[in-house]
Amino acid sequence: MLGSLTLRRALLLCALSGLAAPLVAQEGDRSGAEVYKQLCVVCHGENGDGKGLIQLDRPARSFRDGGFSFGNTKEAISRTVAAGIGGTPMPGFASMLSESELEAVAEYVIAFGPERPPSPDAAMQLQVLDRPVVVRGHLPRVAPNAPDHPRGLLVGTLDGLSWEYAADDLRLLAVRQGAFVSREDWKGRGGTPLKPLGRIVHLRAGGTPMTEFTPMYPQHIASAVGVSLAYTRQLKATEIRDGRAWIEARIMKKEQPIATVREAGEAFSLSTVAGYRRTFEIERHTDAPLLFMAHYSNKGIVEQLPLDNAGFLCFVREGEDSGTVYFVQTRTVLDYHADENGVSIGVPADARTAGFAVNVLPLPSGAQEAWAQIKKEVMP
Amino acid sequence: MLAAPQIGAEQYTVEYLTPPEGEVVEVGGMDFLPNGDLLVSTRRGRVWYVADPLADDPTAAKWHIFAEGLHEGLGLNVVGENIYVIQRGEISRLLDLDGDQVCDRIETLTQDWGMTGNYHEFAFGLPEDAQGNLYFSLNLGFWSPEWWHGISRAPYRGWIMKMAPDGTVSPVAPGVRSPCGLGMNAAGDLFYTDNQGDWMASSPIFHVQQGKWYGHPASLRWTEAWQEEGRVPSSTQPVDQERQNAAVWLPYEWSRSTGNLVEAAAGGKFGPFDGQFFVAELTEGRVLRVQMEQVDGEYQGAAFRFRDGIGSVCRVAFAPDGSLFTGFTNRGWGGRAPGHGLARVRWNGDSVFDMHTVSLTSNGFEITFTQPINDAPAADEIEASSYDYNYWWDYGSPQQREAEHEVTSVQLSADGKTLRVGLTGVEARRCMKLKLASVRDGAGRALLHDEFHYTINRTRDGQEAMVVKQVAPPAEKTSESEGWLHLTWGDALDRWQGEGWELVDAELDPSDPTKLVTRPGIGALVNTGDNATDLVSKQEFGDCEFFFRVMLPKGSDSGLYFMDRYELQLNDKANEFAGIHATKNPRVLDAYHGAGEWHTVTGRFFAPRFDASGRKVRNAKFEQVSVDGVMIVGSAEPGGQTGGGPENEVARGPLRFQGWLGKVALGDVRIKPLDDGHAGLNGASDWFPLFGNGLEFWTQNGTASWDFVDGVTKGAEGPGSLSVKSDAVTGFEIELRVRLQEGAPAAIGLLGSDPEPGMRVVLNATPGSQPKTGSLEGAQNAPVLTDLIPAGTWFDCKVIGQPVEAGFEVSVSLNGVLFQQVLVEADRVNHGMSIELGDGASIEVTEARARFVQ
Repeated sequence: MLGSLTLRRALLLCALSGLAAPLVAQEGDRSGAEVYKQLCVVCHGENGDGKGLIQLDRPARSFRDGGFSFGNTKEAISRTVAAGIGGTPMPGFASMLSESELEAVAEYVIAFGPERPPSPDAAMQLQVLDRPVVVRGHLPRVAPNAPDHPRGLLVGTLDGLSWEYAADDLRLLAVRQGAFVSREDWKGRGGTPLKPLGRIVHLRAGGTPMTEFTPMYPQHIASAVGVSLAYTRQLKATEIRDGRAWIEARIMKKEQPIATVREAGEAFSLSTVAGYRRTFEIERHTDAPLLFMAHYSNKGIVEQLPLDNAGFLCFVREGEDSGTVYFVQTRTVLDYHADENGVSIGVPADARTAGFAVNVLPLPSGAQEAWAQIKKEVMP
Repeated sequence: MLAAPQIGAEQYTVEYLTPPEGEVVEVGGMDFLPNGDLLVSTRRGRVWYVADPLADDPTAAKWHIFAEGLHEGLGLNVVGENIYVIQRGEISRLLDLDGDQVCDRIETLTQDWGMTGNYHEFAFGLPEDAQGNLYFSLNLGFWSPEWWHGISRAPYRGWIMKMAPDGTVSPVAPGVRSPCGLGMNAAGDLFYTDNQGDWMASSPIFHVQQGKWYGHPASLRWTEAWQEEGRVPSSTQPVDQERQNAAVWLPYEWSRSTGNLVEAAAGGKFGPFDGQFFVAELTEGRVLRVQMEQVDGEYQGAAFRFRDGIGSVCRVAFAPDGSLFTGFTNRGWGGRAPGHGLARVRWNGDSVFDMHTVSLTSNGFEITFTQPINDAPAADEIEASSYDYNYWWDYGSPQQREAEHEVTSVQLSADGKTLRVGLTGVEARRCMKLKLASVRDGAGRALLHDEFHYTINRTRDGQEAMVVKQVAPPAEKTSESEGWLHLTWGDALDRWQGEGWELVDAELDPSDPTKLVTRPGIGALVNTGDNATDLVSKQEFGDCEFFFRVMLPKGSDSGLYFMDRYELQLNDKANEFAGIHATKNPRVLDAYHGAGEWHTVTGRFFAPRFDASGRKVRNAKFEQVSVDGVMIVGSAEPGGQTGGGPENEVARGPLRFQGWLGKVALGDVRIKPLDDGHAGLNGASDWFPLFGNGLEFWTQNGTASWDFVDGVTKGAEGPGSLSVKSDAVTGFEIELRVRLQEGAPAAIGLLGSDPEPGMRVVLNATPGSQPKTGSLEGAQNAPVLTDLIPAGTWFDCKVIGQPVEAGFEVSVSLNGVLFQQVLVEADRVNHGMSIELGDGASIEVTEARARFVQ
């Protein structure tokens, strides 16, 4: 059992990973076949049948039957290659391939498969092409025991991720990867829920996460009193700016707005693990205390590491060899608190603004080894 | 020279704009920007930017997507530089921050109204008043199976609402059903259009005023008064509350689905109709014209046709140049093609000859024309008729109480532009239709549109009445009678056991609502006695559909126990009424109308199932428990049994109405068995059909006529019988399906093949005559006095006779429910059977079969 840890540092935002195209111009971009031979054959096999040299827990995809559960367009596949697939052995290759190489290898693997008929209902399928897409609609249940959300928000970012929020209180319900959404309400009389198409890479709290902004820690200890004291988060605007989709909200203490929060999401990978990053910018309007709960837990933090110049890193164990890594990078001074009940990030009492990024790396298997790799990478 | 009637196609041209190829623009809202470009919001959540919409060649307009990803946009209003859109769940302001004519920022101004996610919960809008308030309307929801009842399941569904400039939302008025369009006149009066359906006779245009009620009862539940009482309005019984008249009713032949309305302020560039309303209609695909006046301060007026053959017009908006833009959509409802896109209606500038205004006079109408007319029409050249509507839960109302009217006087003004028509029978409470087919102008042209419908809410002499009349609610859409057993018709208590119950008429005691006052009558079964016991049915039931009516005084507590064990609560509490004690909370809705109100409760009940060893393999279950057709429990398995019932679970049991705790009034208890609870004959031979060779082997006695056609044995004009002898048998089982008419009783004769059988099962559906179907006569008398099965309804009858330890037992079941089990002398064995007809009786028998034990 680790003791709690409070960290107060002046920090610079660390430009670790994220989705960046290589800065160096490529002398000669490789062809799709070359890229495939160098990077993909080892798992996906020479013939694209998934039988590579490496034995994987989850067999690599065979491209020969033409099915891609994350979207079978060239754009979707290049995004998958760039960002990796969270929770699987498929890493992201963004730092190793140029854009044209990504497209080339996507075309190469599509060619392994059969002739594709044009997909029906193509018009209903919204795609994220050159800028993020923000969709308001009725979200279906994200898990069997979770409710549906007549007011929902689904954001598609350029890296192939989709972000599902309840639009009335902006709880992030799930992060998906792959194709974006099918607007089922364009059929018939309308009024039916959307159909998010991406595969879930992270389902938060089984689809019923708790509110994230609270006045104090730990808020989630199952008590009616605790819950009623939580702040509400009200959607104020969605904005597309500089290739990112920002969700702007008021944090309300009953009827009083105490802060404005802007949030944007993007893919993030570390080592060979693919996950996602949520960037927060907070502007405070009152002195009311303000905490962001990055994680609620009743199982205990397994390991946490303060980082000299980058925030903190912790691994939350959820199963025998599974769990989630939270890697927080901050731009401003903040209060950090982590223990068996969860992980919180607090805006210090004297700060009017705060900025931080919460990087989440889901590890559904092989967590121990992945955690070891991640630690090495973050703190060599 | 008589010109053919024009439909306005030449004077008002329709030109279709062309969205980009393959794009489907289902218009939900539109408005013009200050620079003259057009913004169109759609049901697909897009906002299209149409540049140069007024180009002479409509295909030259340039389209691009301004915003994407909205949740339907069924109203758009440009106010100054601000672009407001109403989505299904929010009112938004759309901003283009970098001037590239693409929306970058969508601000959520408010989300403050209820939504359940039902597909029909649209939100429409979005006119602005002088104070900067934006007005919108919220559609009711519709659920299966009773899709015809609009329900308000979340706050303010069924209301007109407004949002103040600071984003605060407040309710304006309840009573709307499908309020597809709103529009404001220059004076700042708000109007909305509703759509035909339950409680909406046709398509009305209402003048919206704070706090008024527009007729649909469901939304009343959110008023303070109803909230305090915790009541939910009935879907079928009219509510006794002041209801508004519509300013103008659009006749059904002109408008089946109405969109929005817009007041013309075109500076004369759209013809002579400035100050009048143009109304979108999407099924017939037209634009209508509506002209209103005020009588005693209240709006009423006339509807005219304006331009037909456009497309599924859902939205209308005037362009800066005075032309009228129409936006189409019909997805999910059908309508005239095209079902998506935009068209522009332009006036070609030629003088229009039409009726301009219609004003009510003390005895008729004063009609003003746009051009002088040649001659006054003769009285018999004017057709005048009137009608009104019914106010009920049925889907719309056909025109009612139609009447013709005579023209008593016709007077044309000196300038030929104003015609005064006197009529008989002009009164409030009617819509009047006039047709002036013979009127011509100086150039010999006929009127563009020669007909109007005027809604008379008030007359000039101060009469005021409702055009839509409250009437008795139509019969409920219950299952057809077949298969049902009416347990309280006729002799209401014959099939029940219990003390202290009486058949009376009952209502709430006005001086003490916790009590019922009763008087002689037949309306209700009430536990009037001081020490009343429970009311228990003599019969036992298993799986069944049930139907009954119930009324409770204030604070009362009762219940209906199925199989004597599983309780359907009957408490005077909105969140408990018709609830089931279950392991999970199964309630989806409250539908209790309050103490003293009658409710119809229906649903299905399934008994627990046991395997051969007696182990339970399935729990008892309730399904689709509904109150007045509104489902409040989808499915519930009572966890074990409720307190107050016997211990072990069994396969069948009686119904028990709790009578010892609180007063309750019951009516019309009906059960439709879904299983057959009559165990068959042991050791029997195979079944054989009784009429396998038609009437061969049967003897016809008496004067009745018998026939066998298409598998049905028909007997009529009794008295008489059809009989057959057989060898003696030890036991028998007979099954048949019977339909009996009123007039005289019939019977199935058993135990002997003589003209006088030893025993009869009586079949009798004649009112006033006893005993009833299911009674036994003869060797044992066991009467049934309740009218279990209505005349003219098919029912199943099974009779078994078999030796038992104590003697010979005859049992009779109807529709699968065992009604009789009696012992007769042991040496009676069957020597045949007969079907007997009384004097004038008429019967049909089919699917008749029998088997025996030798």
